Amino acid sequence: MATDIIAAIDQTAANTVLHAAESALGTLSKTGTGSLGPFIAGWKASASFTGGSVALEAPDTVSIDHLRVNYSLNLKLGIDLSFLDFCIPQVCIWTPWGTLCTPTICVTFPTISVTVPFSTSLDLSANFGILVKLTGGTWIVDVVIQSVPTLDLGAAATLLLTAIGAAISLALLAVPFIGPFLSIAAAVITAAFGIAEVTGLLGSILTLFVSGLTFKVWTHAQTFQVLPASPPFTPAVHVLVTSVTAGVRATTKNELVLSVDI
Amino acid sequence: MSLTGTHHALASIDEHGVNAALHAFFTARPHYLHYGSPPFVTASSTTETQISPIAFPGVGGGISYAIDLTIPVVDLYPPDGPLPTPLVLDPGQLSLTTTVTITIGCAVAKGTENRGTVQPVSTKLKVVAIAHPTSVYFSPGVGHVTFHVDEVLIPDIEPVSLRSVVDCLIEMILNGLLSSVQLPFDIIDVDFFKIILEEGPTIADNQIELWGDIT
Repeated sequence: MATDIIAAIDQTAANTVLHAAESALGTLSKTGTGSLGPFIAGWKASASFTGGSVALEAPDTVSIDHLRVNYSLNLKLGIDLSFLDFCIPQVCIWTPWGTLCTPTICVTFPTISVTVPFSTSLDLSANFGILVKLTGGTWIVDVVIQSVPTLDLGAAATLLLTAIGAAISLALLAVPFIGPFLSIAAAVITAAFGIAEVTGLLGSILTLFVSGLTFKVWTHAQTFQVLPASPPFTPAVHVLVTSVTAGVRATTKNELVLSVDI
Repeated sequence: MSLTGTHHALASIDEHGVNAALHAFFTARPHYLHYGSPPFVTASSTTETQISPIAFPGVGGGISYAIDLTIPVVDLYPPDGPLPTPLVLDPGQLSLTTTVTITIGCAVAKGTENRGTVQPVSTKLKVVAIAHPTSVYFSPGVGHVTFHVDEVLIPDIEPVSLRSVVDCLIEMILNGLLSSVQLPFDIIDVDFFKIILEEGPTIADNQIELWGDIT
């Protein structure tokens, strides 16, 4: 039996549909914790998706190249400076008037909180599958990423590492009595992690956004109003969508085809 | 051959879809199928439309009448079967079949027991019409497809002059009816995109097709 309704778009139009789906997805936000060498970093992150070039491949692949992932991070590091703690021991001196002793002086350093704001973007290329589902009376056609591609984080990780170092130095400046130990503290802390650890943290955060990345390219009420009511004698007209399929049809052009029965 | 051809988007609805949409339309709005003057229809409602009787000198209150149609069944080109001669369904056309019941309120003759009342006298006519689709386009994604009857045939009416009168009457009734029947672009593109209409509506392969770009 033939399909009642066919809505088909070519690759050019598929780009328009994808970019609309990117806008509709908006900005995603997540929070979590991750390790940065010996430190635990709490983070808040948000990401949005723009651009990208669509190629349609039969039977059901939507390939997107150069999808831009715009993301912002807010890392919060708690750095325990107790490794700088020291005490000046008591010193006693004999004098004709008796023995004079200095008190023991101990200096303890606090745990400081370092906040690192960071924003940049990366390009992503991946294959997406087409998923049709009926959920709560709404038909939905999603394109869903099939696997997380390798993310090129080299440049971003370097920038983030620099940003973390600058933020730590700034935070240390505010610590009382640290003056003579500033360079030691900065060196010890930044030596505790390097580009690999930053890349690992960044990768784990961005993977959360990219894994399962889904763009809704079509949503439609199962029972939808074709014509509105016009009182007093003209009720609304509704039609029931009984089945939906979606896929890529390859002929002289590759086309994304939505097939609907009513 | 691609579906979109030289355009970027295609929206099409097939014969079953059109008939399902018409069924939904007339089921929700049966007053588009049932017309009558008093006493057949005493007031307009969602199920019936009141019309005026035919005024005629000497007929008090005019000639009452009613017209009832069954939900039209559409057959898009190519035809599913032969049409009554001489009707021919050409590419780009559709046939439309319905049954029209015309009822006249026949005044009971003076001197009889029920004088002063009207006696309904009806005839049922199977009507086959040839029509073509037209579109009204307002803006991307906003518009509709409607139909216009080009030719009507009611078989087996003699003499030919009477048939011509009835054919013309039914053609006017059907066109009046169809002016209210709209297939919004929403049902043809199912809101997958907002079509910028470049070509269509055309009928081929049992489908009504719209082509264009999208926004």
